[in-house]
Amino acid sequence: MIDGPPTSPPAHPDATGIAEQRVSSLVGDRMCIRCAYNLVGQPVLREPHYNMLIVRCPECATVASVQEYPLLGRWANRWAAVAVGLWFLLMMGLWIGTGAMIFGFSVGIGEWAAEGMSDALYNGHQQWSVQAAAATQPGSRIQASTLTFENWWNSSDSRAFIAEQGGWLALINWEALLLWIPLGILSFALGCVWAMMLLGQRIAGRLLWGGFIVAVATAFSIIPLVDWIARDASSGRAIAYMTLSPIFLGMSVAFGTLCLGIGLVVGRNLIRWLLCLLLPPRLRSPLAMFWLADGLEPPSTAGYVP
Amino acid sequence: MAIAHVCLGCGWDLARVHPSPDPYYSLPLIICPRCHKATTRVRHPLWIAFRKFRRLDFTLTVLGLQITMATLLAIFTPFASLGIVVGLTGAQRGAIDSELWWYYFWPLCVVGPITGAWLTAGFPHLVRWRTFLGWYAFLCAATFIGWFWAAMGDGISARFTPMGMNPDRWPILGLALVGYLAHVAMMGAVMVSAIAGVPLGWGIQRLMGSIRTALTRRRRVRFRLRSSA
Repeated sequence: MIDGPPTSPPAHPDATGIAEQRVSSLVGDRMCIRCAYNLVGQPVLREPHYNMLIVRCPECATVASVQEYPLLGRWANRWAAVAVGLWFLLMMGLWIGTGAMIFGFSVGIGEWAAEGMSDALYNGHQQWSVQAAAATQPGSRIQASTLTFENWWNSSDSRAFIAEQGGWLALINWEALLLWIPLGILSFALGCVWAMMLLGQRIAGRLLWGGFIVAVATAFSIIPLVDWIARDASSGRAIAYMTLSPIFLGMSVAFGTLCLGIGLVVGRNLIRWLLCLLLPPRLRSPLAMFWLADGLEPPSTAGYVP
Repeated sequence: MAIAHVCLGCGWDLARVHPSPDPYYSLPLIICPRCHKATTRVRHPLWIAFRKFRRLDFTLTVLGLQITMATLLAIFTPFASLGIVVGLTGAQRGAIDSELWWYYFWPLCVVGPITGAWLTAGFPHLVRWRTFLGWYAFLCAATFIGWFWAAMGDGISARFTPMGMNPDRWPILGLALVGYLAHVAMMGAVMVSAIAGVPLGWGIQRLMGSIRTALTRRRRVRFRLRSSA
């Protein structure tokens, strides 16, 4: 209770020590906020300026107000800092991991899709080699260096060869697109996980974070792209990787991005629906944050509210 | 020792004063023995946080169990029902032996009843027939992806289709469709056998309810004992 207007605090804490009125003593646990000394047994004082109840630490003379919750140690704050650090590391790991997952599938799809063209080029070169060997005079030795893939590829009409194989579409190994199923499912699932982890973000913020994830996937993709494009045209595989793989890599990254984006947008709704589906109403209240984060009413404990 | 709780009226430490439930709100009430000021027991934020964590932990445990059961049954049910298809194919070929009955035993006598018990005990807040139907629809959708994958990848074995059809004689998509429909039918048989697990689910549900009631009763008794001390 304040009897009069508050006055400025004294310059030195000991200056008013005599005026403090002892009202009782502390019998419970309360640590000093400065040195963590247990103040049990110390007198509870009524200080003269504001008539507040205080306890003074006998070790460091720090004054603790007893109107607040007692401090019981410093480990709570330390553990909280450790937990925050671990959470940050987890998010960083998941960020890189999500980008790496999209990148890995995309590279696999890019290389697998080019396998058809690679095989066609290999067979074409083999046929040309056999024909070239058959066309030479009997008894003369063919130099192996003249039958290289590069020589065949430079001497042949590539457009005519592709048309002969049935066009570009026939050279693509379309089975590679089957990998879009796991890529899509995983990207969507990780989008949902991110929507759950980024509780403070609305849709725009979540999509922005999705952009950062895709940036990681794109940055990783530069490595195989450079490798494919910088290769010499020394084999059918190199030509196929140079021609088809970058297209399928880009398409797969775009597909993964789309599924990730859908997960980021609808993920929180899906999680709420799943929680309502999997948990009885009385167990949903500890997870009310998923409702409150979007400004919704907390989950009802009465019945099924998706 | 108790955590310090100082009376704001007179400064008396109420840490060792036992609270008693007030008659109007059942709050843990403390009357200061010196100034008779009424106050409620202040719980430390750490303790409140621990209680919240325990509630969250229990919720997450239940959620983890539900997801584990869903994952296990989403794997075992399609594979076990595929076993029935394999068994039927073997029987049609005349390759019946003692081992073949296991193909029927596991899905119909183990996986099915467990599914029924889980769907009954784990989803008491949902309408039962909708739960069963929803789970069956989920299984059908999940296996469709598998069959689609197998069809596109050209990896369908004649063992997984009824009547041991020769894959060379059928277009692969037609073969996949027949295989998928047979698979769906056998999963339906497993879901019918799941009805046998409903009484088990009721039992589990009642057991869990009894445990919860006993724990609540024990907590109340402890609170009364503490209050009367």
